[in-house]
Amino acid sequence: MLHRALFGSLERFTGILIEHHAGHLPLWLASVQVVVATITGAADLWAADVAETLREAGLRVETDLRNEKIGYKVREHALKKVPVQIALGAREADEETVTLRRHGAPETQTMPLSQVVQALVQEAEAPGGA
Amino acid sequence: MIHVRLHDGATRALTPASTAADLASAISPSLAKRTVAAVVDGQLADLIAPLPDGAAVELLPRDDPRALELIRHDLAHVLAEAVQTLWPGTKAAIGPAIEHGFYYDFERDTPFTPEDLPVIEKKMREIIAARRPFTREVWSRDEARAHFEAAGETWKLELLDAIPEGEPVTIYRQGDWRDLCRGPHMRHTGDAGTAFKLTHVAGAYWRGDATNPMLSRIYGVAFADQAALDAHLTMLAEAEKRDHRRLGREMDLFHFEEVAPGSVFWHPRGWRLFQTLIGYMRTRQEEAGYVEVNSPDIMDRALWETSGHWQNYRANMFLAQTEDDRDYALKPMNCSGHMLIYGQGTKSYRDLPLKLAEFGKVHRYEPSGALHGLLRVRSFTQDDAHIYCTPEQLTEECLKVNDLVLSIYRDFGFDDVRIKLSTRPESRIGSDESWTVPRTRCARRWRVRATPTRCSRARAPFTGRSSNMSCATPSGATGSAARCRWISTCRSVLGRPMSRPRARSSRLSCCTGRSSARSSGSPAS
Repeated sequence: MLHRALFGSLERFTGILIEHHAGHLPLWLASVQVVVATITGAADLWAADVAETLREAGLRVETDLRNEKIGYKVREHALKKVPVQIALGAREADEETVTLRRHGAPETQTMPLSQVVQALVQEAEAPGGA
Repeated sequence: MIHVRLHDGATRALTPASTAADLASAISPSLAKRTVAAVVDGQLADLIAPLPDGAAVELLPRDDPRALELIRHDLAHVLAEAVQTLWPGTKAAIGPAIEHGFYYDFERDTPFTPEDLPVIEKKMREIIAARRPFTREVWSRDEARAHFEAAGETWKLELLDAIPEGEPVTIYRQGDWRDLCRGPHMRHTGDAGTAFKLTHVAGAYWRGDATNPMLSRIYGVAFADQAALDAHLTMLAEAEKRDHRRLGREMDLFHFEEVAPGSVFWHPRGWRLFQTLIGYMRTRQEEAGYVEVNSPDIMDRALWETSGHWQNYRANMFLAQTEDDRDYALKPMNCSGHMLIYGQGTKSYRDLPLKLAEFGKVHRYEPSGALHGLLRVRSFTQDDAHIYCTPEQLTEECLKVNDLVLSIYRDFGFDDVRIKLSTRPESRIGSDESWTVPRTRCARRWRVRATPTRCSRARAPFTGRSSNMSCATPSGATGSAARCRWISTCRSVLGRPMSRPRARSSRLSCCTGRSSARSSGSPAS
């Protein structure tokens, strides 16, 4: 008989993963993968649409429609190490685009929603053992 | 004249009672200036101690790695002098060099606080700048007792009593400050240097025993030069940023409560992560031919007596008694439950290998001082599995497990995996062949496959050869981890032979060893 445990203790393995990645877990492990935050109330409906589309694609999404400054929201979600933040203002709502902020990337990027969904879904897939 | 042998093989004649300092001066003034200590017959020694005739002597410059321990020990003395100068009446207990630095324990009505540290550090720097010579004196026990009694140094009196009869009582002095100490020390307080920092305070029991009084401990880190100190402080700051307890709070993943020490309260985000890991492992195991089972958390004492846990592991088990006076224990391992599942129904040779897996919650009573966030807990979930196979299948199954581990670790970004393959203990069960064949074949295959990995040896429990694979975290904790053990012959927990046809000698066996890297006892089979 062989006896084996691969993670060993799942609690311990979780602790090690958190320290190994300094909290910035890869997308497939992140509890909340995307936060959709509004810059203005005018983007609320578009934010709900975006969140719904991402959820339907299988991503773990939260919305932040609070009446707070976007800088405040970004800092708060960054502290919680959410890997992808989407900020939506009046312009994005008009053009039906999204502005994306990745952890560690200096620049934000504005692009069509479909492009974002495709890239994130691919990245969020659990690895299958290379 | 006496003769000493130098590191380069040369012999040197000296007048009797010459010291290593005299030796350095006799060789060259510049060497004397550089030398802070000596290694005499393999032992670190003061420069001021007389050299024995025929000794092998190596003179150490301050930047020799072996001098680092002296730097740290000197600083412990400087710390104690600084504290007793600033707060007269504070009792000094004990202050050794440790990895990365030093500490000193003190007794005082109000424990030290982090705000005290800069004040103490400033005083230490004054003492270092004064370059007070360290001198060594041998006192009689009575002299030492009278001195420390008069000074009210009760802890030093205890240490004095602990020095075995016949061993000299040595006092190291820097200026007017004295300590009971075996030494050695460098020339003067200036040799300790300024590349140090007091880092934190902590409570510490005298001699590490919780029944003794609590002392106030001051920790410092120290290196030979500022660059090394800075690098270490940067590493500490980085580790602090990565501390999973802090991140767990900030990311709202989990918390702990006094009502359940060492047991995790998972918050929604943390539990999601936990379940993602289970989901991933479940998929990988299904692909690898495992079947998932689940066994009870609480089982009767009778089972634990059969498995040996009751006799050998009870101190680590959580026990429960019910109204009908039955004794139960929370399972500390999943093995016994799997044996009972395997033992159900008739098993044919054709059923093998049979791979039973369970995400089993186990409970182990660990000392409260050992608990550390998620890394050291009292209840945890093992991704445990037992593979029942024929002796012929054993090696291949071992290799499959190890390939699976390496593949899974790679998925998580752990590329630096260390494998420890245990050696064969003197006291063991099973045939020599059952130990040797898998070892040889696994080791050979690993050398080919497991790069980049590091292999080393560890000692096996008597039940069977085991391999451990671990990865390192930035905070220095060795990552847990995967463990695989083959147990070919054990006393049976059920004692049922396998059904014909072609049943070999295999009997159901009980897993007995430590089933994770972290238990502190090992029940016998």
